[in-house]
Amino acid sequence: MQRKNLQQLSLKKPVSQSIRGQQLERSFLTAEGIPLKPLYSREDIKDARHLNFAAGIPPYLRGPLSTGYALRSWTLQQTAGFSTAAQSNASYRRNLAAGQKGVSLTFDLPTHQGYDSDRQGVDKDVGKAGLAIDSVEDMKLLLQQLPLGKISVSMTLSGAVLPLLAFFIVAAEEQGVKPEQLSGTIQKDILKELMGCNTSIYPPTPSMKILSDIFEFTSKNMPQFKGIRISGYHIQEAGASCDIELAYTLAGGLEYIRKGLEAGMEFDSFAPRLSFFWGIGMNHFMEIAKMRAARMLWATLLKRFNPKNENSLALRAHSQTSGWSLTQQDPFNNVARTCIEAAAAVFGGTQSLHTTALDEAIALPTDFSARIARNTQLYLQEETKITKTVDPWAGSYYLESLTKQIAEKAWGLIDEIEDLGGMTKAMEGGIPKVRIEQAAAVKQARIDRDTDIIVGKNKFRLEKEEPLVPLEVDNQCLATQQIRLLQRIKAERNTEKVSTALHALTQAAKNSQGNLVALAIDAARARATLGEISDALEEVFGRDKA
Amino acid sequence: MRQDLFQEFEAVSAKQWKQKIQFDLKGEDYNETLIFKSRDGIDVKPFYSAEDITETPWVHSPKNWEICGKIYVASAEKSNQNALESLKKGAESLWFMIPSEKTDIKTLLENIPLEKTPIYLGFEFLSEEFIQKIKQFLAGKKHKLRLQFDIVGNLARTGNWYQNLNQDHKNLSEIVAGAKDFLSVLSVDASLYQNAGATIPQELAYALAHANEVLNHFDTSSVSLADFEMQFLTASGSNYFFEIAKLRALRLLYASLASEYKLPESCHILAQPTKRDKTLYDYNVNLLRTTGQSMSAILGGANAVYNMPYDSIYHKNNEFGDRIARNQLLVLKYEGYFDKVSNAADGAYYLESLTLQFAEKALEIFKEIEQGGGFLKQLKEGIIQQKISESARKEQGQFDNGELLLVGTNKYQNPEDRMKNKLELYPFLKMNPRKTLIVPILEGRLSEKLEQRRIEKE
Repeated sequence: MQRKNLQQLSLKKPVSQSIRGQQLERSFLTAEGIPLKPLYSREDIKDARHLNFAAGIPPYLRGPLSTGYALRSWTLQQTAGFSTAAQSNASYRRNLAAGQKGVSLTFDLPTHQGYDSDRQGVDKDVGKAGLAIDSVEDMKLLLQQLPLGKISVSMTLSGAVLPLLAFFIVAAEEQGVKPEQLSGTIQKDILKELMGCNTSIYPPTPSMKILSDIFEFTSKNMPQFKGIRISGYHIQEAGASCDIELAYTLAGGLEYIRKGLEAGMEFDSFAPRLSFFWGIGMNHFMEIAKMRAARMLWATLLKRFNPKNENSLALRAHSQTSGWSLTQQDPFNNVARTCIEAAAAVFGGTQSLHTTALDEAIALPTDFSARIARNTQLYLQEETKITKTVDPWAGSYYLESLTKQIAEKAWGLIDEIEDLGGMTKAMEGGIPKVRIEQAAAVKQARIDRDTDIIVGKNKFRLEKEEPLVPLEVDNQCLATQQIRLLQRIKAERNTEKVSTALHALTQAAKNSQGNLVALAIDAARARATLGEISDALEEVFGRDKA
Repeated sequence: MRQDLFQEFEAVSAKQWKQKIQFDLKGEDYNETLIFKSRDGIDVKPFYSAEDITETPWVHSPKNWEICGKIYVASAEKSNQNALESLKKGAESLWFMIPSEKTDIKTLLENIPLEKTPIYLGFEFLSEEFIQKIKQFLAGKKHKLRLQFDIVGNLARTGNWYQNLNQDHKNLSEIVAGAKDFLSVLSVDASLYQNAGATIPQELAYALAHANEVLNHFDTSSVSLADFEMQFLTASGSNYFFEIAKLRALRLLYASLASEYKLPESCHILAQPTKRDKTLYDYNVNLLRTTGQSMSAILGGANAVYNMPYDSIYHKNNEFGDRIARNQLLVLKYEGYFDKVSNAADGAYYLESLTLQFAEKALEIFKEIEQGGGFLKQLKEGIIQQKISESARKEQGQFDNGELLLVGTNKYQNPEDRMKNKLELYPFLKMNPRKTLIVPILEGRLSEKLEQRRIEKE
């Protein structure tokens, strides 16, 4: 047979794209109430206004930096899972050697509440789910031999933010690293703070005073320090859908901006010191859309403050893959979950990322699980080439349609908060709490009704589960150790110096004079403990009863 | 809802964006620092926008994708049990690799709901008689069976025809003549070219030229044209977006070729992750690689995806490995909603641009092959093998000098990792020197040499 001559073969031209019967098929409704259609086309985004926004230029749809990751990749930031300072330190060092660029410190409940480990009644919680820090000596153990001038340290702080920040600065100083070399962030869990969970110490007004002192101190003395990171992660973990997480986190940010301005801060030195912290769940494209929408909405919200520098409008974000989405059942399934979520965070343009370990749903991660979690990021960074172009999903009819819809939904929720007089007022009225609880109930109902399937949990279950061996914390022994160290410090320090420093702190709180961070640093240098510093302020501020 | 959301911001042109980048670069060279020169011959720009899209080709996307379980049929009975178990645990279609003509098809397919389970049968032999047995078994039954006959693929992989050129083609003609009893009978194994180290444009061009050999062979007027379907077996490599674009380009190319033969334009793609970047050490990274590569396959529009277990290079088939591999796809489908929208890639500037570039580059290579007498002729002359070796050598060089990284293998090694005593299978390329008609195309993993050295040191 004659061979067919195909030298003139050309690629098929586009057929006129009628929407191929998609209206006939049912859409799937997400937890956000956004329908997912079987097919998307140009029609779906014909009235979207945002399509031609760029990266590096307001409103930063496609990223805060004009080149995305092409010049600089995101920062790997992992929480280490050990309850004593010394163990954690060893783990940080191993992780940094294995390619991590930042560390993230999580504290136990007594530390958050401003209580020393030897306080009556707290011993059961010492070292549980985080680090026990009583004094600058613990912080020094935690950070010894880490290149503090080169890595980024993030701390999740709620109540005891002052002493912990002071310990961090003094520990670095005694290592020979100056405040201006330190880089990192303070993570604020606004959900806990605004919803009145038990980790806040002082009532809202003095809490804001502390915050503005931190802003003042860090902007003067710690230019590398990125300031405060507002967490939406905890809102998502509480069961909220992406639109709610997005709206309330930004509304919380707006509240900080207003309070900061009230406290006399200058907008352009202050706004860039706020950043955001997203939880990244399993709805891959919704999460990408959320992060893109967030940047546009934040720029829109801040534009009203007439910034002098347009960079002040750029939203920077840290992300953590969801713990909510992980299961205890068949835990190796969590590796894929975290990988899918991490990829979404990267496509959404995160500046740093924490990937959750496969056993974090059960316990603190082991070296084994921490390695897989870290390798998830290294794999994405080194092997997939996804860093070569910015916002790679831009233009997708599906993604752009989601971006538009989630932006509109979140804007509606922000409007509602604003009508109520801002986030603090709205919280007092209880609206956000109700909305989050409703969303959580809906999410659970979707699983109970099998609308949402969780592999290994409500479907494709194992007949027999093999338990993972979680990392056990011997917390009694730990508490004893902490108490012994506290006793030694108290015996060795200059008591007079300590009481002078603490008195100065109380006075400053009373008279609203002097910077509380600077004074807390003095106290930390004198080896005042976390509990003592907290108490010195509580004398004036009182303790929040919420 | 405010209708004027974002109206205070202006649209940004590509030119303005580039200016901003140049400003941010503070004097560094744009091309030097920001253009990624890929081994696939495409220069990736730091950003893509609507201005990169002149026309978007229409790429057919299947409505949904199947989670496919693959079973090597050593014993019909055991494989049948495996298949039933696999269906119960979430597999939606089955892919049997049948090594022997003695396999009893009735035992193999016992109790499998044939009317709703897509089934693929691949063979290590070519036998008209065996097909008759399958037909007898299926007589009167509703089913979704696809046979995978690929005489050119067999030649490329083994170096020999099943029998000889004439007999193989004669069998093929008979199979195609009786094709109406199956959803499809012909397949093109493009995964071989990928796993051997071809670049994406090469792989696409070879797949197309390979398909064209088959289409050229028979008188298309004799086939029932209305339901002719070509299957492509593909392997997804490590470059996430390139691999999405690759499958879209394959559909575009095949549609263009098929329309020359007045055949239906859509093809059936059965995708799996590449073997090329799988590693022995830090084997859990394979779980991550196969997750990413399965995502590429799904988003690129594969009809079915099979996922290899993380330990398949050194462990015998085992329940844990199989289960986690399948669960990766279940998690994507149900928890990640990767089954809700079938054309996520459509409209994406970067992907649309890549798709068209790949298709154009592949078409060029395809035409060169045709000019040179066709794929079969170039295989016999060793030209295809030589081109693939060149690409593979280049990629190996990049791996060896650390330009191409595999986490846990040539960077971020775990010094405590020991593998020597965990090997149930020989994880390296087996050399069994055998007289072949042509030079066979060999699959190979990038990390083999390094792993061999590491094992010796344990």
